[in-house]
Amino acid sequence: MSTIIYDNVSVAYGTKEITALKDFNLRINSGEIISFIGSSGCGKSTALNVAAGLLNPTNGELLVDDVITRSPGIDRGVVFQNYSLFPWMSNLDNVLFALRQRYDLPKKTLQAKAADLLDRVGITGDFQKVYPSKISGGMQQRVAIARMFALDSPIFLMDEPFAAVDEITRKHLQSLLLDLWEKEENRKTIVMVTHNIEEAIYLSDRVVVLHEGEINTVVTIPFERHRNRREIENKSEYLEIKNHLLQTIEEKIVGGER
Amino acid sequence: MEIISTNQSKVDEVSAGTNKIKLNYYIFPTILTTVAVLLVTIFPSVDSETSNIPIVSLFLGIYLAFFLVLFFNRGEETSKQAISDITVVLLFLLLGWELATNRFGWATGFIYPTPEAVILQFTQDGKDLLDHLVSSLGLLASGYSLAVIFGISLGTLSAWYGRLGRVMNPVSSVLAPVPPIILIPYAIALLPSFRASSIFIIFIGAFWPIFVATLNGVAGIDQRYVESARTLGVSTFTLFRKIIFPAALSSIFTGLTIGMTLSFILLTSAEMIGANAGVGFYIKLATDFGNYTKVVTGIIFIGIFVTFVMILLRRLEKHLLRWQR
Repeated sequence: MSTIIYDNVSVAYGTKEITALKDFNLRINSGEIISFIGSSGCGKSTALNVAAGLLNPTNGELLVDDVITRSPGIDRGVVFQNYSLFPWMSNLDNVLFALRQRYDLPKKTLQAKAADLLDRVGITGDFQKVYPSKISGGMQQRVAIARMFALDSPIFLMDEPFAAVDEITRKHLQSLLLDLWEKEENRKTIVMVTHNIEEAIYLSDRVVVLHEGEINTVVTIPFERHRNRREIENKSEYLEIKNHLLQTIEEKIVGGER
Repeated sequence: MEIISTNQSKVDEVSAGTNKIKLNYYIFPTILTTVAVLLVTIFPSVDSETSNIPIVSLFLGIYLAFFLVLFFNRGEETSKQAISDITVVLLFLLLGWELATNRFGWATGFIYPTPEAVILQFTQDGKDLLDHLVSSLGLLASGYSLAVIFGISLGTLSAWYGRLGRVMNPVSSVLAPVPPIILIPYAIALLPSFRASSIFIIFIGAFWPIFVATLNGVAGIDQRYVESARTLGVSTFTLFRKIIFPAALSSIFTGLTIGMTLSFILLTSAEMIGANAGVGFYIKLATDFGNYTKVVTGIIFIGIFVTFVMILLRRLEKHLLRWQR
């Protein structure tokens, strides 16, 4: 069990004139991958921060496993676009730091576990010992993913995790994430914010389009797991979904500017 | 595979450079040392009894030290250039001093001690000076470490807890700019011993810079690091120790450096007013007796010692902040 329920959640900033989320209702099922997409300022990051417990609803409640939740916890691992890793800790120590929050085991054991987690995301040998600033942005996100898996939380929350890396690296990281996710016995619930429609379709079970803090559409992605990127991209359904999502977002942007 | 940053190739280039001796760093110090030794050999001392051995040894000693430091330096080209340039300046000043006081007789008399006299004073008073230094260090260490402990902890708490910050901010803006030197006579009168009053003065002097730097450092931390830590479920204690402290450390070090400089100034000032030991007392006593050779000796001694402490502090900073490079 690791469900997230947004129960009529509203979030207002400052003097309540700027509403980032309005009467947001959504049930995210256990083991599901959900993407929030939409134009800038649509409230997708706000929705994720509410789930992370970093932001509290001004109205309504967030429920994790049917329990009202208003603060962060190790039941929800988070990866940000950047700033996830602490630059003063080596890559290994970053993962180790997360492990120590989770397990009360001897340091040696945890160090081996951290090295193993990094190996699994392709950060090996000396790259584990250097500081994050010494490796590329794509490799840093690999470390961030390893750290998220280190917490072994049932829920993963990701805020544009692959936005700062190049196209080829992004596709590598998406596949890596899906691989790791599919290998788990109890599949994690993943909520991801992205502005990349292809990424949303490839990874998600459902794509939620937000506009001005409200849910505009929820699109169910019909492709079965395990997904092959080439295969699904050649399907006619893929193009239909992609165009539908693109149109929905664009219409709203044009509408909003009028 | 992803692109790995190109730092490694830069490192290779630099280390390749250090393996061969680059002559251009050695040229000017070598020429200047030679010229200096020649000049003191050619021109006789004003006071004909003075031997040339101490001053020549000093020139050669500086040159040898320069050579060793440069030879074993693994730093960048600019740092090698700086070592060479600093040596040139040092030799130039020393030569000027020697020529003006002891060779050409432009500045003579008891108020202008010659380098030879100062070297001699160092050999005579070496043990004395060390004893005075130990006394000074005791006061400095106590006052400064108190300032570090209270400055960092109060600064962190004031930045973190708004209520305390709103009290400490106005208090610090009134008290921090008061020059601590004006407190010295009153502190000496107020507190039971000179030891207590000088520790107090050093504490006050070093506390505010450290407090303000810590407060600014902690307040300026990128909140995304704190959020990232909170999502890992860390305890408040771990948050302070592992996230907030390292993130603010760069700023804290500016306070530590200013605080250390101020501590020295205040310590020697206090010793000149009310002590019966310490390097400041040594200089004050010599001034009272008109022994300017001792005065200059004491000043140079303090200069060397302060430089040494500052280098240690900078080394510590570089080590703790190595992740920033």
